[in-house]
Amino acid sequence: MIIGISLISFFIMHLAPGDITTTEASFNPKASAESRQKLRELYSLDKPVIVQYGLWMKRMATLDFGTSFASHQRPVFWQTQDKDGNVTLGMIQEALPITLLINVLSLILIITIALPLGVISALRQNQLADRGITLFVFIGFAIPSFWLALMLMYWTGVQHTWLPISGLESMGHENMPWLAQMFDTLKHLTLPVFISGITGLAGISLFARNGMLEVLHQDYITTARAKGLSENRVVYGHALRNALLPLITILGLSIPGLIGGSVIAESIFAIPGMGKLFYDAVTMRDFPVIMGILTIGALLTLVGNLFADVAYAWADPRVRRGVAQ
Amino acid sequence: MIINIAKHKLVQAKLAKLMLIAFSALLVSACGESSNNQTSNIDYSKSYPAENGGTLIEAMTADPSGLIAMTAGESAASAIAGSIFNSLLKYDKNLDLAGELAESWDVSNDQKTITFHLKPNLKWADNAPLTSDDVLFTWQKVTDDNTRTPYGSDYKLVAKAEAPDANTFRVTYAAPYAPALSTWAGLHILPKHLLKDQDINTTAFARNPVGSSYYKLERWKNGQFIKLTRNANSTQGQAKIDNLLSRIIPDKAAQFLELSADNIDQMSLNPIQYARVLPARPVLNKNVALYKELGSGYTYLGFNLKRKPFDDVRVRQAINYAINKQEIIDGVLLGLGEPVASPYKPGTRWSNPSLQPYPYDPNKAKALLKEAGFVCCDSENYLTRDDKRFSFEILTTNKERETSAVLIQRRLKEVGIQVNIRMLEWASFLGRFIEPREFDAIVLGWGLGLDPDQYSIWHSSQQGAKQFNFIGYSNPKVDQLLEAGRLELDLDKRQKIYHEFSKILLEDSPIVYLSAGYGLTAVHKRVQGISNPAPPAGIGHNTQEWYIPNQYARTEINAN
Repeated sequence: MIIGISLISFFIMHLAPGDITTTEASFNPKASAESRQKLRELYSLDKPVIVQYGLWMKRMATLDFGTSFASHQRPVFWQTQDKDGNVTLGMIQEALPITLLINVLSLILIITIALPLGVISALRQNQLADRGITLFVFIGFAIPSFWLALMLMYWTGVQHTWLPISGLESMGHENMPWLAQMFDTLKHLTLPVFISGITGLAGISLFARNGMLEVLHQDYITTARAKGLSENRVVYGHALRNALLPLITILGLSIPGLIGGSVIAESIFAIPGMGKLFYDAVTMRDFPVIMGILTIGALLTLVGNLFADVAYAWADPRVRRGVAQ
Repeated sequence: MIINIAKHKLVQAKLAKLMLIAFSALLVSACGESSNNQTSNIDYSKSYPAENGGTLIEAMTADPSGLIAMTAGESAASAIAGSIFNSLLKYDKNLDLAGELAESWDVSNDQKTITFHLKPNLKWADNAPLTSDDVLFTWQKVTDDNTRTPYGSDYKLVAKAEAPDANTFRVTYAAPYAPALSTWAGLHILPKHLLKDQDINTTAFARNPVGSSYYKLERWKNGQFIKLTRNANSTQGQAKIDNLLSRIIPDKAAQFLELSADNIDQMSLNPIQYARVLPARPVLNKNVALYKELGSGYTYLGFNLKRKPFDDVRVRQAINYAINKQEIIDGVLLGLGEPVASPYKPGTRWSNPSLQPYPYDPNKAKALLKEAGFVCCDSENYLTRDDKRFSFEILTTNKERETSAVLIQRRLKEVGIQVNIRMLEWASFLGRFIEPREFDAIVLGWGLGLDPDQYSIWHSSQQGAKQFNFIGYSNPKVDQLLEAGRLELDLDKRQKIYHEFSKILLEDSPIVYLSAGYGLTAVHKRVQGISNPAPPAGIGHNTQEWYIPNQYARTEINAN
């Protein structure tokens, strides 16, 4: 599976015209054609694509993601140490934790807000509250996030100095006590998390609403009500638990999404995350970095699917029984 | 006429789109600029005597890939590395060559040998002595076939390089090479004692360099900031500002907000921010000084001279007359640019002051086209020759250039030429159109280099697949001048050669010079000692003399 994915991405990448020698210093008259040809040879870019793929696979067999073309040979994935003990951090190693942190926080934010919203609108189907919530989440979904981001940055950062505007740390961050450091980072993360949260509300809340509606019309809910259970028990004890099952699938599928950042948000907030890393790598035709991110993404998608299946079996006895049989 | 107006509207719509962000920001600002923090109450207009200290915070759009300029190559790297490393020579504020590490230099009578005399007692930031051995080592590295640099070719012309004593460095060229001196202003000298056992392509030194100039690297957080601090061993004397902090903020609008909130001191502006947004905001306008300097490049419309009808000089001149350059400067750059008539920075010695751009003269254009055999008109009012309509395609690569192309399209329609415009991504533009020469015309830019040699762009021998004379320009007289210019080291004689070259180039009109945009910079008024108006080298030529009076310095969190 991984081999298939990597093969396809490798070939698609090489179908695009150009390589690192056309994007780097290509239109500088000081950079002669011969020097650029020499660079192509040093990077093995003059060999046929299939040979290049073979070379890449050979390195991958030892889990060596290689070094970046564009960023002065920085290791793509994990840090390396030279013989003098100088450590060079890996590009993914640095970008991944930042993106993960933002995405996990915004996922938590989305779930804590979207679930109650979805349940409320299911219970008040077609009433004012339902309509209002649906309108609200769709506005959040449809609003251009770069515009909202800039407006919020202006409001909270320039007009009032409540929050920092961009970046991950204030000046002098390294001299603060650790509690202040954490608070500082949290302040910097507030807007990016909020922005990526508000655009994600619609999906989960509508999912919860529809799941809930479907469950509420099931026979066992009628039975529960007929037993004379209180409405709260019916809704939260029986209906909600069943309505949440499909959510596991969604969460499983969102695992690969967790490592992919948004290029626009990361550029605006000046966050050195995965989205920016990947975008820059593509425009520079920095093949090792592109392949590194794609491979890790593919791997995580597979793991995410597996994780979702297992979690499904754990949560739903019917699935478990099906597996056992 | 209706169509013309529609085209004009199109340009306006594009500008309007660009201004969307700006205007919406203005909208909000109307609600309350008053609630700004206390910094807005400080009066920054007083000037104080120069003193040491403070931190200058500037915004950059991209992280450098490394700080060894020869292997990094992009402008972000050279901007930062220029504060850390020295070259043998430098360009002074009038763009004349001056010594940097070299105290003086002699050129032998046969013009083949240059001897550099280094200043005495130079030191690296780590206290090791800086000698001609380091210079020799750097030359060996840049010419080494294993070094991944695109810039080696100029230095490979050196037949022999030697370091006879610690303060002397001598290079001998096989033939006189006039741009030689300028190449030594572009090569950062690297420390041999730290790099001799390292692979320059992968060394950690690129992220933790030791240099000899005003500043040394204190901290580099990838993708976030680079902090430089004053180098006590600087070979060029001491800079006044203690720390330079470069924050990496890719988005221009976000940079502008940081400037508004007084979190950064310096950023480069785009024309809209410079001409419209900033003047409309009183607090910012009061606290920030704007600087305008001639930019480092020009935009042009280039023809594929191997294709008909662009092989005919009358057609090229006609198109040149038909394009209104001032309109492009006003429409695209909001007036923040200059027309140019030669490929050199106006105001420097290489630019020929007697040359004027082609005036906007549609009648002359029509007459020239008629002379070239075009007749009026087919069913849609376009010119034809041999029953074929005069129609061509302009390829370009970015928004600003596309807007220029739209303005050109409209003006050329007026004289009866149909123009189509296609915008492309850079790598495919090069690979699919420029290299196989599959284009009619392009709107692109060239840098205005500091050395006048433009052999690689205009000489007829430079038309190979990946070479830079891709428009296919070939004029024996220009070839001859370009060759002569490379051999002549005498400045006045050299100047004459290039003035003559620019004149022929203008007459031949293989490209239409469109505009040279200004470099626009905003610097907070707390930073003083900046030359205004900017000299030819730009405001950055004396950053070591900039200072921040103590009264205006930001409060900093110090380690204690």
